[in-house]
Amino acid sequence: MNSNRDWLDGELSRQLAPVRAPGSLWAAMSDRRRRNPAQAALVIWPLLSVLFLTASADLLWQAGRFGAGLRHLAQSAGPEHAMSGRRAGEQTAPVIWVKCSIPNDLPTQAGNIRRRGHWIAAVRYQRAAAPAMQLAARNDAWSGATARSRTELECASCHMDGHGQL
Amino acid sequence: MPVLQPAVDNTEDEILEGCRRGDSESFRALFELHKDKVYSVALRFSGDPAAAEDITQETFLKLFESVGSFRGGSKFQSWLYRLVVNVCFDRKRRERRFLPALDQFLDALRAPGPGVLDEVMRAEQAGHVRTAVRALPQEQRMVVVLRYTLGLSYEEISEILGCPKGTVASRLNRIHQSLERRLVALADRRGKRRFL
Repeated sequence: MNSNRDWLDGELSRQLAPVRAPGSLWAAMSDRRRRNPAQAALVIWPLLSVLFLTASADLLWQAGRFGAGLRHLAQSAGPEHAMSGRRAGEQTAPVIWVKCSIPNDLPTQAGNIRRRGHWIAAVRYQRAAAPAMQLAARNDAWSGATARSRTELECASCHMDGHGQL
Repeated sequence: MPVLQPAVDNTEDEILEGCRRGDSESFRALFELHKDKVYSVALRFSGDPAAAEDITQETFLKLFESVGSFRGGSKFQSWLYRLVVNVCFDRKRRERRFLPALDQFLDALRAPGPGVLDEVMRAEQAGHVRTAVRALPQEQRMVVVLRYTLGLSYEEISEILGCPKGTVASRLNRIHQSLERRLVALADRRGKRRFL
């Protein structure tokens, strides 16, 4: 049995002996290294990232423009349309209504408008270099009235007609 | 067992240091130093020169990418052989993924039985024991290649394959018995008792 093992050992050593690698192997490997997908990925991923960021920024910019367009549409459509129904949202409806209904010479930047209660808003502005405030309210018919003081506003809220007039 | 001598003057440590610095000449020197052994393992494992070239290239590409992380905790050769063994097994796994039916067929051929015997008979007729080795399951085949192609000790093989030394010894013993049985059966069938 040992002679069998010796014969097998010798035969395995002979048949599985090491060989010389082909001479062209280095050139082939260098070529493969040049077009290595891992290296290509090093270029592709930053490019894809830049494209993704650009697309995202463009999307946000377009969304901003769309929102501004909607606000402009609401303003140009008049107070009735701006307040037409609950679509404007319970939170933003008074602000939109104020922007649409107050006189043109009053500032209507969002920062100057504060909500005072559910359907009352206050617009801060400057009059003769002094701070002033315009109050606004709406009734059930989605019209409203403006007043220069809370007392005047309460009167207006109770006594104005369906067109927002006292 | 024949051992290939590298035709490079620099010591391996100097070459490795150059590779860590990204020196292309050092990469070339490292390649020249080990290409024959890596190619031999790949060829004896796969049995196909084209596949062996592919495995060798992949092994060295991985080596060049990761040589910076080699800090000499173990012998460099063991680290390199582990790399080539993994590339061989990975390639086999990829082939299995793409050709499962063919692989099942080949496994059936490798299972003990008349199919293998016929294959061994053909191998013996052609005078190639290595064809019989190729019929072994890949883990057993790799042990045989590391032992007889590279001439590694049981300890070195156990370090490369990540298994105890005793497991290598028992695995080689089983491989020998298996090959002996097959070759004896072959000799009996051919009426020649050359093997006994």
